[in-house]
This record gives sequence, C-alpha cells and structure tokens, in this order.
Amino acid sequence: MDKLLEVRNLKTYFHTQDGVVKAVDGVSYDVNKGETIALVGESGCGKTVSALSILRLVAEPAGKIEAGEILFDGIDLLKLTTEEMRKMRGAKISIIFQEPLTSLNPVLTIGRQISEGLEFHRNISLNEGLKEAVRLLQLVGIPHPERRIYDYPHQFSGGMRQRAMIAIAIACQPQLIIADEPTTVVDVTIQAQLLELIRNITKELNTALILITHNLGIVARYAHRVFVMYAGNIVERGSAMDVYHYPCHPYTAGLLTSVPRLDEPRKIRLIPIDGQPPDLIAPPIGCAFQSRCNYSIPKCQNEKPPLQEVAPNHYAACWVSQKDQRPWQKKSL
Amino acid sequence: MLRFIVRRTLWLFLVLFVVLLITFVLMHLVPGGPWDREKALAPKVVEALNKRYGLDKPLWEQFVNYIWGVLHGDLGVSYSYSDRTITSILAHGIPKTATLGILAFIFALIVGVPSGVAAALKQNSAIDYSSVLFATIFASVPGFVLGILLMMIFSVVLHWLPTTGWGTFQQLLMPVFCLAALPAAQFARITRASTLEVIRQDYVRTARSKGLPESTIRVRHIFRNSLIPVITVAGPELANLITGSFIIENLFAIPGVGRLFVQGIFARDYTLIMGGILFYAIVIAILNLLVDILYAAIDPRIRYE
Repeated sequence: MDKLLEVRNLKTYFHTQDGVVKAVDGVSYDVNKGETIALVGESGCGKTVSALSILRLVAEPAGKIEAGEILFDGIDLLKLTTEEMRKMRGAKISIIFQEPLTSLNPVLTIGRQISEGLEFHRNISLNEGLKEAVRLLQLVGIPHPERRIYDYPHQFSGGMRQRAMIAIAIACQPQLIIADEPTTVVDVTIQAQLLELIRNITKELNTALILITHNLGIVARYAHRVFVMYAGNIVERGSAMDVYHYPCHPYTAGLLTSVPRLDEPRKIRLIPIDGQPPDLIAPPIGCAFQSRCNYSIPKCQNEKPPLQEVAPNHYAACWVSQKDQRPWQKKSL
Repeated sequence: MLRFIVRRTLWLFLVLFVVLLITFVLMHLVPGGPWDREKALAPKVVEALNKRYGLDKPLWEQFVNYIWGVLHGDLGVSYSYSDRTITSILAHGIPKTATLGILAFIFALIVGVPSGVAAALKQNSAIDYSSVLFATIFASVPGFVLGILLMMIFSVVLHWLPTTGWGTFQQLLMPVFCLAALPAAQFARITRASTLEVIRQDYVRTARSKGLPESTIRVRHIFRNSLIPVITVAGPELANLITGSFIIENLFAIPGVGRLFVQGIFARDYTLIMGGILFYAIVIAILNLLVDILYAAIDPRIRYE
C-alpha cells in the first residue's frame, strides 16, 4: 500500500518553568492512503500533541518539535517554510477538534467559517464559497443548509457544530484528516452518528484518517490499525483486531478492561488502571508503565523496552510480552 | 433592534429625571448657598436675591418649576454669571470641551489600541515591554504634572507651542495629549489583555488549521473578538472626555464646560450645577446606548429582545 504519511522518531517538547515536558518522545507511525489509523491512550499521553505536530500547530513558543521527520507524500513537513506549510493546512491535511463550541469562532457565521478555507486554497469568491458550504452542510446532514449557513455557532446544537467542523475539515478534500477525539463532548447517540458520518465521508473521498481517542471500542469498529500511546511513546501497534482481541501490552489490556463491553456479561466488574501516568519532565529510566503494571519483572525497572514485533505485524514495547508471556490476555478474555 | 432603541430612549427620560432629582436634593443638603460671601451680605439683600431667583419658595416647588423649565428648554439663569442663561453658557462651552474630548478620544484609540495589539502579538518582546512601560507611566502620571512638564519643554525651553489659550491648532496639541494619555494607556492595557486571551482560543487554532494567511487570522478571527472589551471601556471613557476636565481646562486656560461646572459647584450656582449634571447624564446615557448597539453589531450572541 502507498504510504501517505510517515512520522519518524518525532519528539515534541514543551519548555515550561518547571522543566522540559517530553510530551512526545520519539514516536513513529504511518498512515496509508485512504486508511484509518487510531492513536489511543489516556489524557496527557501525547496523542493530541503528536497529531498537532503534523500540522505544526503545537502552541509556540512553549511547544517545539525538537526532532524527527514528518513525511507527507514524500515531503518532510518540518522542512517546509511557514508559507508552504500554510498551503498544506486545510488543503491537504485538515483536523477536526475535540470541542466544537470553542473551536468555532463565535462572531462569524457557519457559512463563512466553512467557505474561508476554500476561498484561499481554491481562489474563489465568498459567494462561490458559500454555495460550496451549502453543499458541504448538506453532505454532513444538516437540514436547510441554505438557511443554516447564515447561523452563528451558538445557534447550532453540539452535534450540529461538530458536523459543521467536519464540513470545514472536508471542504478542500484533503488527503488526510486528523480527528482529535471528535465525539468526546457529544452524547452517546450522536457519537455513533458522527463516527459513521466521518467513516462514510472518508471512504467516499478516499481520505486517510487519524482517529485520536481513548475508547478502544471505537477503535475496533472504525480503525484499520492502532497505535497505543503511553507517556509520550508508542507502546503497542498492530491491526485493530489483533490489538483488541490479543493485547500485547499490559497497558492496552488495562484500557480494555476499564471500559464496559456489550459482548460480556454485565456481572464482570470494570477494572481501572490504578495510579497516575509518570511525570513527563523526568520520566522513569525503565518502562514508563512499570509502576502501574501488575506483571512487571525486575528488568522493567532498569531498561526501557523497545518496540518489537511480538507476533506477525504486531509490535509491543514490553519485556514480558517479548518473552512470549501475556498473562493479561487470559484474564481479559 | 429598533424597538430596543425606542425603549431605551424612553427609559432615558426617566433616568434623567431621577438624576436631576438626586442632584437637586444633594445640592440643597450641602451647607452654604449661592449668596455666601467672605463678607456676609445684608439679610435684606439675600432676601431680595432669593425672591428674585425663586429660592424663597418651598424646595418641591423649586424643583417642579425647574423641571417645567427644562421641559420647555429653559435651564434657568446663572447666579454667578449674572444675566447669562445656562443654555448660553453651555452653548459656548460645550463645543470647545467636546472638540478637545473627541480629539483626545481619537488620539487615545489610535495610539492605545494598536500598541496593545502589537504588544500582545509579540508578547515578551521589546515592543511588549516598552508598550507596557509607557502605558504604566501614562496611567500613573497625573494630567496636571504631564501638562506642566509639556509646557516647560515645548513652550518655555523650545518655544514651539503656546502655553495656553484657545483657537489655534497649536494651542490644541498639549491639552489633547494630556487628556489622551490616561485613556490611551487604558486602551493599550485592555487591548493587550484581551488580545492575549483571544490568541489562545481554540477557534484561532482552527483558523490556522484551515491554512488562512496570518493577516486574515488576525483581522477576522482575533481582532473582532478582542475588541469587544475595548468597546466596553471606550463608551464611558468618551463620555468622560467629552464632558471635560477641570484640571486640564484650567491649566491651559480653555473656556470649556469642565471648568465651569466645578466653579459652579464651589459657588453653589444651583442652575449651573443642574445644567452641568443634565449634560453629563445625557452624554453618558447616549454613549451607553451606542455601546450596547455596537455590541450587538460585533457579537451575534447578543440580541436585545
């Protein structure tokens, strides 16, 4: 398959008063054309930052991409000038943010906010842009789009705002869309609708999708491949089905047992992952998950496990897993 | 919107009435009267004066008479400037004071808002620090100190500008600058703070993610939102400037209303005080209405119905 995006050894750090926060510390992942991958992990694990880094939208001056390559269609995005990068954003790569209310400008109409990207990338007038906005709103399932383009964000419901965000993201038919927890702030019934919408649209336009989420259930349904992140590193990667059914990292297994599943009897209690993620200013020497792990061995404390293939096309950064032992699998299945 | 304006205008009359009532009561509660002199006037003279100006009648009747006069466009006669009506005093003073105030307001906006924006866009740079430094200086130096300093530099030492007076462009420069210093500093500080807040908003990041040019992001996404708090303070500030400054008008010998009102209060010139308050109240009420209308124009979330 054709590689669309290849992130190699990305390091994005935040320089704060307390020290350097290594939010993303040597992450590599790739997306094929038209493929959907998922970046999974709990809050603060670096999944959003690693995706924002692709668009070079990490908040400066505190945040800085320190090292790595981000190859998009063979071009290293980190080497582009500001102006070249600007032409990429929205046109080739776009993003759907988590908070549709705060992510839309309160004083501009929805139509305007959809059309403005088109106006610049396609060099069209506001009127043509608004016509296209009507079509896009129709596409994302907003009734009476010809009237709705003149509405302001506060006149839209949460689900509709996120639909409008999707319309903005697909406006220029980008090759890659990043969806940063697109359904976290809407209620469950709307979540499924929005995810179906995103999936149908990406399929139709043959757009690649990076789905950022903490919900492995979503992943199994919508993503082809999964990258599990923990404390700024990728700890497991593999096909969605493999990771979901045969987690090779105890953290992934922990994520799976801490969310309810409809295919299991309701008697099974949810098992939370105890403890807190490590301090990213001074990460531990060995495995970052070691202090919260029930299966750790002495080696975990001293040496950081590399990401290695533990089964065909299934990689994990875990010393236990690399010894072909997965006690957590028996427990979760 | 039209209904809102009509309703607010009707409210204005009630507000003005209440303001006049409170002023009237307070004015008469203050000890002293218009005929108090260092050398006391003969009781007969005071009695005659009171009779002539209607001050011998009960207070409520005086008030009713005053309001009746106001409704007919008659603000009464000044006690200290004999034979001059309040209307003619205001008509002479207001244009000068308002010219000064409006020029100072425009100057303050032109200087304050862009320097606040520049400071915020280049936070923690030399531009930012110098903008904050000047804003702090101009916010803390009193107008009369600034005025005297300017006079010493530009009139006494350099002989570029006349010290005082009214009528020429050169005579306007220093008082306008003195009046504008404080509001300019306030505009700069508020603009800086609100721009810094807006810059961090998610929708600005969204605008960037669309690949818009930086200039469009600034004008369309940042400024429109960051100017809302500036409008809030600009309204009362303009009212303050239009109604004049006792200190600046005194210092530069400008025959405006700001000076007159304060002198009127010292002289217990009841009709002048009432006329002055009426002018203040009308200006402030109208500008508040304008601010509310501007709010709705700039922020679609605000609707008055």
